[in-house]
Parts: sequence; C-alpha cells; structure tokens
Amino acid sequence: MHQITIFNLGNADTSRIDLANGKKLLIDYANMRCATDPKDKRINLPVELRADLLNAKRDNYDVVAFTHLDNDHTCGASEFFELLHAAKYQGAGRVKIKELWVPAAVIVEEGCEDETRILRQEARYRLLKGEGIRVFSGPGQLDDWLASKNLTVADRAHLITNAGTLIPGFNLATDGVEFFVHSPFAGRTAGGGLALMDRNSDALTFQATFEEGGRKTRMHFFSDIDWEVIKSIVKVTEYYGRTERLEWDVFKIAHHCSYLSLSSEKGTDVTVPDAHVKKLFETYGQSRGRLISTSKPISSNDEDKQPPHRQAAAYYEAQATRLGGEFLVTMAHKSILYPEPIVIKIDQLGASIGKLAAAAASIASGNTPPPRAGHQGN
Amino acid sequence: MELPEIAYYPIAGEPVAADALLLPKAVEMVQALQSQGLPYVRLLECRRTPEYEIVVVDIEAEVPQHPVHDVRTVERIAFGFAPADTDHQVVLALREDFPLVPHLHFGGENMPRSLCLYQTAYADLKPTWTAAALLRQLQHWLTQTARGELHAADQALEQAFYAPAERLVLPSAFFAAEATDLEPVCARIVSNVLGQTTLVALPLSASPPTAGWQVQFASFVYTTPPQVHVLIQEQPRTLAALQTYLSTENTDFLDALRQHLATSKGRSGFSWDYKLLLIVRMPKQRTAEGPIEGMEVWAFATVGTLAEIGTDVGIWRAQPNKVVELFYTDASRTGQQSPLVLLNPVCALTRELAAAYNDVPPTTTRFVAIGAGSLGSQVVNNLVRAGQGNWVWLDEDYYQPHNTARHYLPGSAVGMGKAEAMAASLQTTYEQAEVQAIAANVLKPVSDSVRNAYEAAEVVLDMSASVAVARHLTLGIISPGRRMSLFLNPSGTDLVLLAEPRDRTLRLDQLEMEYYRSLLRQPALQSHLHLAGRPIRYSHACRDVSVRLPQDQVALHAAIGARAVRTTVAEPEARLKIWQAQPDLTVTAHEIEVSPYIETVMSGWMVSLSQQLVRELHAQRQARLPNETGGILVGVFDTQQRRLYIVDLIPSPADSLESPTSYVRGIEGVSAELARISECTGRQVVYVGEWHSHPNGYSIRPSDDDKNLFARLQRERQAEGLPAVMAIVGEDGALGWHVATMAADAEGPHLGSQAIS
Repeated sequence: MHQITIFNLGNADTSRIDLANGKKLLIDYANMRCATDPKDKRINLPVELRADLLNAKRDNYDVVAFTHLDNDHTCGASEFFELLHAAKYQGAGRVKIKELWVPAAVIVEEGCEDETRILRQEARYRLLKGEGIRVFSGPGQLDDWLASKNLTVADRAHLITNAGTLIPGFNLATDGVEFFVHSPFAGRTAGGGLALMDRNSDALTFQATFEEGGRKTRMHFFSDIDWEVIKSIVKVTEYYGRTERLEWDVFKIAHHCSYLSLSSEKGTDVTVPDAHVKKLFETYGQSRGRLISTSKPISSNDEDKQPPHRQAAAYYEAQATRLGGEFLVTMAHKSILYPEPIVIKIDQLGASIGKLAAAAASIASGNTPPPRAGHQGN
Repeated sequence: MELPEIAYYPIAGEPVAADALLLPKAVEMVQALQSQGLPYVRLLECRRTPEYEIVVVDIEAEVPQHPVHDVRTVERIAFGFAPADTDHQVVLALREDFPLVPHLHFGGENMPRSLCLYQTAYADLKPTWTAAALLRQLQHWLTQTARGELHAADQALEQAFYAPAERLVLPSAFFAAEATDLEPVCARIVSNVLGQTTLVALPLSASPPTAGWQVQFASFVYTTPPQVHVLIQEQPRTLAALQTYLSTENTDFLDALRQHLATSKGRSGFSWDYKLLLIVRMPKQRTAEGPIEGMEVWAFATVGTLAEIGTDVGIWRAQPNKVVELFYTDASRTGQQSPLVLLNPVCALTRELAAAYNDVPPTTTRFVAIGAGSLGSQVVNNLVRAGQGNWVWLDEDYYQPHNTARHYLPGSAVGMGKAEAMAASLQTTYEQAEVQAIAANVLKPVSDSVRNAYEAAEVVLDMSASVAVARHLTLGIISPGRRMSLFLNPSGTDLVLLAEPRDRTLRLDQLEMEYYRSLLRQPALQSHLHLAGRPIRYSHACRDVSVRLPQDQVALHAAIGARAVRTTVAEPEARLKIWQAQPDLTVTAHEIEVSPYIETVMSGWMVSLSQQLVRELHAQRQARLPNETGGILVGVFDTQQRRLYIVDLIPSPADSLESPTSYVRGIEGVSAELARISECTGRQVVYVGEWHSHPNGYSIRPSDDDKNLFARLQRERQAEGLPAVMAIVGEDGALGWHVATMAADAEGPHLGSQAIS
C-alpha cells in the first residue's frame, strides 16, 4: 500500500509520499505553526515528520521537492534539513535529503533573501557538484546560468527533467509509481524569446501514477499554479495525446483553493472555470474522485481576499458530489476544531481516505508523540 | 447540477429530542455524537418505539475508490437500543439499495439490512462497551465490507443463504464431496430452547426406536450440479422458488422430487401426513473451472404434508379423504403453494472434527484398556473426545453408588457394568466411535474375544491400579501391543506413567523397577508411596488409592494422564514420568531417565538388572582399588514368575573391613537404609543379597571365603523361601552372579553362577 499524507498547515503545503517499497518523498516543507501558541491548530510539522522517520528507522528522505520557493512551501526548511553547502546547516538531528527536486526558477532567481536564498544556494551547490539534485525546466531556461559557471546543458542533462516527461529514478515496475512533469515549461514571449520566469507559474507541477495489484491510481500535485498555466497544461497534454496524464483519482488542487486557479473571475456563488480547466475537472475526473484543498477552512463570506475562496470551493464541492467523491480541506479535515493530516491510502482498490481511528498512529500506541507539556507553557 | 437521489427506508416510532432519550446507552451515544470528539459521524435524529430508542446517524468509513461492495462514502445507519440491554444493539443500514453482503443478520424481505458487527457475545462485550467503540466498530465493518475483506480471502467459500436459528444436525456423509449413495434419514425435533428448534437427523438404520421421539419428517436428498459461489442470496420461500434458485434452465430438481415422492408412496413407513425434509447438497467451486472445494448443505422443511406437496408439484390430486395419483404430471404446478422453512444444517461430529476441535491429529490406535475406575474412566473419556484411538475396554467391576463421587459416569449408570456403561456413553461421542466393552477379570482365564483383543492391540493400557495386573499384562498374555501403566499413588497426589518403548526392548515390569529406583534416588519422591504422610503397611496397597480423594484432583490427573498417553503413543521411546500435585493442584513433573536391562536365567530364576546398575557396581569397585569393597543388593522377588529384579545397591557401610585380599561387609546404618528403601517403595523393594569386588589380576570365580559366605546366605534365605544372591565384581567389566536355593543333595552348596558384563 502506498500512503500520502497531506498536512494541516493552514494555507501552506507539505505532503509526504510513503511508497509501498519503503521509499519516502516529501513534497514541500512549510512549518507554519506558531511555536508559542498552543491553540494553533496547524500541525507541529517537524515533530510529526521526525516521529515518522523514527518509526521508519531512517534519517533521510529519498526525495525532497520544493515546488517553488514561496514561504508557504519552504518555511523553516533550513532549520529542519541538512544542507550541504554550508556547515552551519549540518549537524546531529538534521534530516538528510538524498535528492533535492526544484524547478529551474530556483536556480536562476536573483535577489532573493532568507529561506529562499538558502535553498537557492543549496540547489546551486548540488547542481554545480553534479549530484543529489534534479532540476525541472523548460528548454533554454537554464542555459545562461550554466554558461556563467562554465557548464553546458549537456554537462548536467542527466539532472534536468523537462515538462512532458517522466521523472527518472522511479518507475511502476520497481516503485509502483511514476511521476509525469506538467510544469515548469518554457513560456515564450510574443517576440519568441523566453518569458520572464515567475515563481507560481514556473512551479513544479506533476501527476503521480501509482500502481498496485494491477490498478492505477492517479494523483495531481498542482502546487500554486493559476488557471492560465493549468489551461496550457491541458492544451499541451491533449495536443500530445497524453490524456491519461490529465486523468485523476485524487487532486491536490492548486493554490489553497484560490479562484485564480479556475478563472480570472471569482463568480458570485460559484467560480465558473475556464473551458480547458473545466475539462480537467469534468472530463478527466474519475468516479469517486477526491479533491483536496491545502488551506484554511472555507469561510462563508468574502471579507478575506486571500484564498480559500468559497466560490472556488463551491465548484470543487460540486465536482466531488457529481463524482460521488469527496472535497476535503486540510484545516477542516476530521473537524475544524481538531484538524488532522489527510491520509490517502492507495492499493488495489484505488484510493481510500483514512478515517478509521488510527490504532497504528496514536499517542496510546506509543508511536506518536504527545504535545508539549510543562509548567512554563502558556 | 443534479444530486444523485438516495432512497432510505422509513424508521418506525415517534421523533424525540436527543435530550429526551432515557436509555443510558442511547444517551451515551447521543452525548458522544454531540461532543464533536468523533469525526465522520453525525447525529441526524432520535426516535422512540415501544421496543426501542433509536439513534440515526450518517457515518463515513474508509471506502476505497473502487469498492468490492457498494458501500457509499456516507451511509445512514439506525441504532436500536432496547431497555433490557441483553443483546447487541440493532444496527440497520437504512439505504434501500444497501448491498447484500457477508455478515448481515438473517432478515426479511423489504427490510433494512441488519448488520452483524460483532462475533463476540454481547455479555462479553458489555464490560468494555462504549458508544464510541460501537461507532468505531461500525466504521470498521463498513470499511472492511467495502473492501470485501470482512469475509477474509482464506475463509471458506461464501454460503448461499443466511443461516437461520433453526438447526438440523445431519450425518457427516451429507457434507462429503464424494457421496453417491446417501442413506435416507429420519429427523426428530430434539429440543425447543427459547423458541429455537433443533432437529437431529439420523440414518434410518441408526435411528433409535421411536420411543419418546416422534418421527415427523420424511426426507429427500438432492445433490445439485457444481455451483460457483456467489454472494449470499435471499432464501427461497417456496418449492417453486427453490427450483428457480437452483436452475432457471431445467426442472431437474422438481423432476427428482416428483420421482422420489412417487416411489416412496408405496414404501413402508410412508405417511401422507408426514412433512418433508429437503436436503440440498451443493458442490461449491470458486470459479467455473475450479475444483470442488466443499459441499454446502442446506435443509428446508415443508410446511405442508407429503400429500399437499405431491399435489402442489402436480403428481397427485387431493380428493375428500384420499389422495389420488395422476396419470400424467401437471407441469404447471411447480410448488408455488408449498412454503419452505430454511434450516441451518450442522454436521454431526466425526473423529476428524473431534480431533480438530481438540487441535490434535486424529488417531485410530487400537487400545486395550484395563480398568474403568475413577482415573481410567476420565482418561479414556478425554482421549475419545479428542478423536484418539479405537478402544476395547476390560473391566469386571460394576458401578456402585459411591463410585459416582469420582467417576465419569452419571448416577443413572449405577448397577451397570463399568466398562459397558462407559462404552455405551462414549460410543455416541462422534459418528462411528469405536469403544467396545468386555466384562473380564484379566487375572482369570479369559474368553476368545479378550484374547483376540490382546492380539490386535497396539497399546495395552493398564489403569487397574494393581501391580499384579500390570505384571500379568506384561508377562502373562500374548499381545504385540506396547504396554503402558497409568496409576495414582496411594494418597492420590501423584500420577505415574510407565510406558514401554514401541519396540518393547524395555518391558513394563522392568520399568516398574526403574520406577522404584527413582523413588529411592530422588529426594522429592521419598514420600511418594506414603499415605497420609506415613508409610503404607502392606505391599499390595502401593497403588490402592485411599477412599478419601477429591474428584478435582482425579480430574487433574486424568487430564495429565490423557495428554501423557496421547503424546507417548506418538513417540517411539520408553517413558517414566511422575507428576506431583501440591494441595493447590500446582503440578511438578519428574521425567525419569531409564536404562536398558540385562536378563539372564540362573537356577531357574530370571535375573534382571539395569546396565546402569552394572556400571555403578564397577564404579564402586574402581573407587576402592587396590582394596576389595562390597555392599548390599536390593530388589524385588516375583516368586510366581520366578523373576528376580536387582533394583539398587547399598554401598559399603562405614564399618566394613576393606583390604586387598578380603572384604568384610559392615552393618552400620544398614538396617535403617533397608527400612528406608522398603518404606520408599511401598514395601516392594527388599534385601536381595550381597555384592563384593575382586582386585585387579584376580578372576571373579568365588574364593573359598566367597563360597562360605554364599552357603551362609543360602541357609538364611531358606527360612524365607527365597534364593541366596551374591555378585562378584571383577576387572574389565567382569561380573559374576550366584543365585541358588538350598540344594537337596549332599554335595554342599550349589552355585548357579554366570558372568554378566
């Protein structure tokens, strides 16, 4: 059985993929919890992740992917992971990254600071060294930067994966999973040159196809991309006749349930998606499909400009109902009062959402740490 | 966007407010639901009927995207709480099209499916019952049902129908895949406990006379062509529906039934008023190409009489006061008017099943058991119930009132022969249990049937509590069987098993001697043969159990004994084991190592001693070289068998005079040691004779001193009517034996001597 855990972190993303063969992949890392607020309902991410690693008797992930370098996908990463480019990010207790996955934008971005800069330096260090990294790119996006380091694309071709291909290192036969890259792809300007890169638009977006017992289960990981990028993904994938790469049984929907990932218009009660985006949901969504929003609970008013937007949620909810599936929100999963990570189990019967009281993962069973106690807690 | 419409069964009763519920468990359920601590379950409404308080919820389980059974992400469930709180809560799936799946209760048509959540009896569950646990169990049930895992893959094939409460016990032959010629059965209603009827069907030939039981059913057995197992079906409720269930393409079943009715009409024992028991055998396959994996058997009782059935299937016509046969079959009549009641068939117990329930392999070892007393009755009962052995039981005793205090047999057997009553009782344990009784005193001349039993026996199991019987069974009968003795010590605290090896290279009488030796040697066994803490007075009493002994203690030893016999029979080695029960029935076991024996005939006596004892004699000699040494031999005389068993030696007493040329055996502590030996062994082991050693370089031929000593022994032993015994231990393993009674001739002492090494 494969298992995907999507953590409750507010409007932020962290998903862990535990493959049946024991491999572990972490997609984004965003420790959003306010350490001094015991009422914060966002999960204590490093504690949870460390407990899981301890139970698995390991100190590393096979893959850590940063879909893009916004704070809600990277927060606290430099405190949690062992980074190879500087001694200050090394030492006991830090979690090792066997292979770092980043979009090309991370490498070429200039002028960034803090966490973003640290991760950029790590990515650059690994790419220059030529190991422990995979960069996702459109053709031409990395040329100049590599040239500035006296390298060519050919020198690092084995570490670069373009959109429209499978990610090397994983396949259905040995891992029960394959990853198909939807983005980033090189956008072109009107003049034919490369468009400027943008963190959200050039984020790493992919489809995972799991296989177990002869059954394939497809899941989209759609980071924070907006509807125009999604529209392009649908168009180009259909153009190449790879419609199975658009199909989904589970969908980590884009950008914390923002209407902008459906359309430029929010709509009054329900967002009406762009025609191509609509097709992604209404043609390629499979029976009993699940849609997952990594966001705060859906509010009933429009005061907050930030996602999640109730109109977008209304559309996703309607899709879930139509398919006989479910629309789940990370901060409302199980309940708004007591949110817990969403666990997706994938086996020969397809995907199931973990709902049984987890005897295997509880404080009483000894493999989950209780929250902090102590007389100084406020 | 249109929502899929889900139709639900309406719920009985009046709606009530959640806080108006009165039954504590219903209240707990509602409070649990309102606490918000339980995700995936939502309270919808509460109702009350005269019988139940009802709580309705929507609940979510872990339903996979491609479920095996159509369980939905959200299911509506009604819990029914009864005031008496003596049974599991009623759990109903309200969705009208909730699928027919494993682990539902037997339900009627057009009723909500009733879920069977627990295998545990409610009374056992009650101490840990919580509303949350019930909801969690429901979630698990729904999840596993959705995944098709509630009925595990390695479980037996799905049965065709839900088993009703009415049971019918059928001979095992009906459940066998290969059974062509099944004997007709007659069924009788044996009990009606709390409204649940149990019928027992026996082959006509084996049916007891009708006294006390009324034969109520004729029977018809029908074996269908192989069927691929499918989901559980609604039970057919008429003959016509049963035909449709079995085949829509032909009417083989009805044709066979018509044929059966037509031919049985003329037979003796036929009555128009009997009802009919239909026994339908379905060979089951996992797939159409697969092998037959089992025989599913269902039984249906007709409500109508044979006359009504025959009329309803179009072969007879009812006229006033009589039934007439039609010249043709009215094919339009297919039993539409003949309601059926489904019965839950239960397979009669077989040896194999009995053994399986005991978690042991069945065996057909041919036992001859001697003694049907307190221990024997309970040991054999334990073994027969575990499907062990075929038994011939020998006992001469009859069952007396006081026996009932510590015996397997009930008081109703008083006055009967013990073995006979035991056999009659144990024969019904399972089908064709072989337990035969012969009234016999084995010490007296016996009948041919007893001799035949001896000759056919694989194990002769002595539970007579008599040394004489054990020795006779060992040396006085002709049987290839391995001899075993199982007995209690006089106080009933200890159980003893003596078992020959399968190849009989060590005999039961020799094991008896090893047993005595272990009593002498092991401090923990010093008081084994004492009674009430004191040595017993008469030797024959050493296996006589005192009359004061609790049944629980006998039952304990019968349990141990049965296990010991079963495991010993399965192994080829000899066994000598003693179990000691403390006053609280804690048991300590002593497994005693046994030595091979040497036997030789001298002066008409068969002398037996263990190789171990020979080694010890040599070791004593070796330790005292260059001096001679010696001591006393103790053992058992059996004057009837003219056998002499050397059981043990007493080493040289402290006041002995040892030198390189002579040995004078002292007396210090000797009489005390002989007394101890006698008491330890229930006065079985006594003084036998003298032993001494010769130094290196000298033969074991008796010297003049030795001859003189032996003559003295002869004279003294003559007074007892016993032979004199003297052993001389020499170098290189030489051992000379001298056994003789006082010779009548004038040539002086006669030394029957022989070297044994």
